[in-house]
Amino acid sequence: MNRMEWLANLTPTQQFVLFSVVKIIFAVAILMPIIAYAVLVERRLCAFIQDRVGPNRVGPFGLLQPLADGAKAILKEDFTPEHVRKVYYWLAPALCMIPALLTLAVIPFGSNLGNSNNRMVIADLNVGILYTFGIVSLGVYGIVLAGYAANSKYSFLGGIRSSAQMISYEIAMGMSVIPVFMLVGSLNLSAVIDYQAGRIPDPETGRLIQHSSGLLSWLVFKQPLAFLIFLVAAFAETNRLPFDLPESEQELVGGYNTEYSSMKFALFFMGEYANVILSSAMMVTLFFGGWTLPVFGLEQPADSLGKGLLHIGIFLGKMAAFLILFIWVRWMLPRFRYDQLMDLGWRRFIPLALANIVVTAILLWVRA
Amino acid sequence: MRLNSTTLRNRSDWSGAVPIRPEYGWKIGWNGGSRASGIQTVTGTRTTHMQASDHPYLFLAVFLVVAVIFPLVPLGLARLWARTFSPPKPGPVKNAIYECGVESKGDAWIQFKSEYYLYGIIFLIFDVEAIFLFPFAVAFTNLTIGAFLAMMMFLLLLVEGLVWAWQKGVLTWK
Amino acid sequence: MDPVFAFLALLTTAGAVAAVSLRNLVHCALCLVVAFAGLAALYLQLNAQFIGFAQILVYVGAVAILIVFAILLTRGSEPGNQPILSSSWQAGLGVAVLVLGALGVAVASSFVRYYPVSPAPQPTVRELGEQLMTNYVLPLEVIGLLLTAAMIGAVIIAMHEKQGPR
Repeated sequence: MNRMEWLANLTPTQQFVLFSVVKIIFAVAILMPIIAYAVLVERRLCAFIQDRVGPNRVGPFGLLQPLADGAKAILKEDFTPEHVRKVYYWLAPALCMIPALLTLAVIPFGSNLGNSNNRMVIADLNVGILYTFGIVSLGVYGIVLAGYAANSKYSFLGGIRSSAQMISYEIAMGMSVIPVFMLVGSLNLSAVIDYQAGRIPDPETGRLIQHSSGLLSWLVFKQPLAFLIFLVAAFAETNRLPFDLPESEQELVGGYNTEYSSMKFALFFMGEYANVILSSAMMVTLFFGGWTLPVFGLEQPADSLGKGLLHIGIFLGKMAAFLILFIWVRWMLPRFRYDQLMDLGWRRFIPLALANIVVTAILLWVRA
Repeated sequence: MRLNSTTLRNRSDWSGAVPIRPEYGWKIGWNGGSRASGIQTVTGTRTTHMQASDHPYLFLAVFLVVAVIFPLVPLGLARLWARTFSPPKPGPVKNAIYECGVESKGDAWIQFKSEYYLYGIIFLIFDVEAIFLFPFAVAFTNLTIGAFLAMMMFLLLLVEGLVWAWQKGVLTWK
Repeated sequence: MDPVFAFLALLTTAGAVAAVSLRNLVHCALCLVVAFAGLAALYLQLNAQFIGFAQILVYVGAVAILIVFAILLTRGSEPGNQPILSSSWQAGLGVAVLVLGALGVAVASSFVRYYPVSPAPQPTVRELGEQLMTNYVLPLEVIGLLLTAAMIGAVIIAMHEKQGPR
């Protein structure tokens, strides 16, 4: 009772600041267990696909396995080989993790909590997608520096390979989403979600007008090619199979993280999963309606606390589906060769993405 | 600068807090309210409560700090544990460069294939060109036929570069 | 002075100075990244969202990466023993001071200073796009042409080196 009064007495600015800080803590606190359990799900699913049992000893169904993994990472000998460049050796794992976390800031992971002031996005930037791509492009530094820091041939080659792969698919990724923003007319990610829920701004007044919407207004059905290119580019950007050439075990042992062990290795590992999670979140936002569902009025912003939490749940659910897709594909497909990978990126996807832009432009033009 | 003056001239409604252009989200003053006397507050129609929340960069900055601390905490914990409970026991084999048991020969930092660099150059150019595509995409619905053709021209130039590189075999990994 | 601006300006300058004065090329490239990022933050502080994130995307995410690439792809070598300052540093400093003075005088005597400060326009990305496609369409096409030409030139230079003696 007392506490509520204290909250109500704050000025709107103070409330907003408080709410935003809580939001940041909440978002990071949610991300952490998701990363941990993504690893567990990966191991269990992989075991299932390969007809094994998988980790099932720590806790019921192995549910405490992530805790054991974390403890192991901390307790292992924190070993720094002699030949490494020490500062970069320490810096690189952190640099792998930071961009993945920063991308989280512009993703709307829910509508609000019953009060339209408290939108569930940490920084609702007008140029949200540019922010995302800008931050994603920083992910190369962690890998290239890891390769340089370790001062070993495998690491070096892995780092260079990986960065060339990432920059190649960055272009395909950036160009694949252009048609999406032609349709939406804004670079803001909340606007993308609004568009998919049928809330389109009136060109004259800018007021949002509710059009009829349904599953088919999700951008994945309007721009299937864009989604496909984005999906494959996301696999390549996160260095997941079938694009995990930087750490192709037969050739490079572990690629850029060959010389790493204990917690530093665990950070690379977590960074990869954070990237996978954030790519999933981006795909949900851009192509699968974000926190909306076209049933039971769930495409409207929440008007009660329960509905707000439900929206967050919907978002997490869709994200989990993509996560499982990422994992499933990893254990289903063999790895590409490096020339095939570059070929696919530069000679297939970039022309396709460009063609998609032109076709969408002409179609929109004819319709208008 | 020139863009600014044109935008200014074209606007009759510069004084007063009038909704100028329907775009999602809102305009941001770095200092929020304190600069509001100098710059009028432009309110997007989509937002209901923006005066108090004009601080996205503040939160980005806070978030940046959180994101930096986040990986540093486990690193520090592991270091602390290593310091107190498991002091390092280095050995010549342990410290050697890992190459699957074969002794490492020569420097790791060698000359690499220049193809990587070629891809880097093409990436840079395409990155810059992609930046121009974003404003085009957003403004697309309001464009005239001339502007549309101009952008198609720009895209054609981009495609031309790609086709040239393709023809030259730069995009073929050898 | 705005403390945020002061901090960012200091960071940018320090990064730039370190980029030209350090010995290890990789350190230099990373200091350049800091300078680029500081510049991006300055743009953001001026409310230029688009240009700020474009700066991050293009300079931090592409130009600097290319520089790091160039350094790492060539054979690594220990930094040489020659001094950081070139032998003609006095002349360079003299020219720099002269340029600074000339610019300072020009800015100080400019009539722009006596105009009232007009409110900063805050163009949205949509307005930027409209302006680019209408009033500034010629510069846009020239940029497109220039970029294509630059790419072709750079690739030809890089390819020639490759086809040289192996």
